[in-house]
Amino acid sequence: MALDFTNFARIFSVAMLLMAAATSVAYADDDDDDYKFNVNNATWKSECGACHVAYPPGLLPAESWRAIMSGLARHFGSDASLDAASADEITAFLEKNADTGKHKLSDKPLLRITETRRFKSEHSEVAARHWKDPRVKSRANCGACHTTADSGDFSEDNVKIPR
Amino acid sequence: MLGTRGAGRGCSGLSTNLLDCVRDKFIFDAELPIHKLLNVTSIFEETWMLRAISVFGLVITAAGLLVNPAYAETPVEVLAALKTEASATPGFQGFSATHGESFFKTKHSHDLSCSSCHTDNPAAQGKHAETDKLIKPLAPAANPERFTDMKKVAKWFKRNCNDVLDRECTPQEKGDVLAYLLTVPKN
Ligand code: HEC
Ligand code: HEC
Ligand code: HEC
Repeated sequence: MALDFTNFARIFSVAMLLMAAATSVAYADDDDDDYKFNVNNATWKSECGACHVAYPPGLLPAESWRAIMSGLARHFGSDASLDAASADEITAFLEKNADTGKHKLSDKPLLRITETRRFKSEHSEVAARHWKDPRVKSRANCGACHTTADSGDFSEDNVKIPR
Repeated sequence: MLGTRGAGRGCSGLSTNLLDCVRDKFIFDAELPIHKLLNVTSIFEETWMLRAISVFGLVITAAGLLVNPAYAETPVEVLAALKTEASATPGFQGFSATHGESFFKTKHSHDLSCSSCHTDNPAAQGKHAETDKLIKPLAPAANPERFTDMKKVAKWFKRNCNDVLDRECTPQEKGDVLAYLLTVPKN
C-alpha cells in the first residue's frame, strides 16, 4: 500500500513536471511565432501570391476567407478566378490556419486584413505620410515594409519603412 | 525534332529553324524578320552547326524528359493550339504580330492595357499596376517558363482580358499577342 502510493506520487509528480514543461514550451513558442505565420502550402502560395504578397491565413478569420474564396471572379476589382480543385485545397488551408481570436460579430465578414481592428492597432504608430509614400502605394502592399512578408514573417524585427 | 513539327515551307528538314517555322506556319506578317530580331540568322545558316545543335538539343531534351519533364508544352505548341481554335472563325487568315503588339500596348477599359503591368517591353520585368508586385518578363525569349503550360496560359488570358477589356479575348487576339511576344528579343 505505502509503496504503491509512493510510486503513484512519483509518477504523478513526474507527469506534472512534464506537463508543465510542455506547456511552458508551447507558450514560449507562441510568443516567438506570433507574427510568423504558417505559409506551407504550395498551391496557395503560387495562386494567392501571384498579384500581391500571399497574405497569411492567420490574418483573417475563417468566415472572411470563405467569403473571399467564394468571390474570386470579382476580387477587389480583379478577376482572380480559379479552378475548383485548387480553390478547394486553398480554402481548406486558409480555414485550418485562420485567425481564431475573438472577433466582433458583424453581418458581413471583413474582406480586408487592412480593415481589421487588429491591423489598425498593430499599425497605430505608423505615420500617415508613410502610407502615402509612392513606394508603399497601398496598405495592402505589406512587402513594402515587411521585408520578410513572402516567408510569412511579419515580426517587428524585420520591418523597414522606406524612407 | 525540329523538322517534325510541320510540312510547311519553313518546317521541313534540318535546314530550317524553329523560328522560321513559327513565322511561316502561324504569322502572316511576311515582312517580319523574326530570326533577325532574335539575331540567330548567322548560326542557323551553318547547316553543320544546326545539326550539332539539334543533336545536342535532342540529348538535352531526352535527358530532361528522363529526369524531370520541366515544361508541359512549348510556346509553339500553345500557338498551334490557339491557331486550331482560331481557325474555326470564318475569315481567319493567321496571326499578326503587328496587331498583337498594338493590342498589347493599347489602353482598353479602365485606362488599362496589357503594358500597364507587363510594361511596353515584355522582355523586361513588369509590375502589377495596383499592388506593385513584381512580375517576371512575359516574352519567352526573356523568360523560358512562359507559355509552357496551357492551363496557366488559359487562366491568365481569361483573368487579364477580363480586367483590361471587360470580356475574354478572342482566339485571334490571344494568338496575335503570342505571335508578338515571340518576336520580342531578349533585352
Ligand atoms: C489576379 C490578381 C489577384 C490574385 C490571383 C489574387 N488577388 Fe488578392 N487582391 C488583388 C488585388 C488587385 C487586391 C487589392 C490590393 C490593394 O488594395 O492594394 C487584392 C486584395 C486582397 C486582399 C485584401 C488585402 C487588404 O487587406 O487590403 C486579400 C485578403 C486577398 N487579396 C486575398 C487573396 C487570396 C486568398 C487569393 C488566392 C485565392 C488572392 N488574393 C489572389 C488581386 C489578386
Ligand atoms: C508603411 C509600412 C507598412 C506596411 C505597408 C505594412 N506594415 Fe505591418 N507594420 C509596420 C510597422 C512599422 C510595424 C511595427 C509597429 C510597431 O512598432 O509595433 C508593423 C507591425 C505589423 C505586425 C505586428 C508585428 C509585431 O511584431 O508586432 C503585423 C502582424 C503586421 N504589421 C502585418 C502587416 C500586414 C499583413 C500588412 C499588409 C496587409 C502590413 N503589415 C503592411 C509597417 C507596415
Ligand atoms: C493588373 C495587372 C495585369 C494586367 C493589366 C495584365 N496582366 Fe498578364 N499577368 C499579370 C500577372 C500578375 C500574371 C502572373 C504572374 C506571373 O506568372 O509571374 C500575368 C500573367 C500573364 C500570362 C501568363 C503567361 C505564362 O505562361 O506564364 C499571360 C499570357 C498574360 N499575363 C497576358 C496578358 C495580356 C494579354 C494582357 C492584356 C490583355 C495582360 N496580361 C494584362 C498581371 C497583369
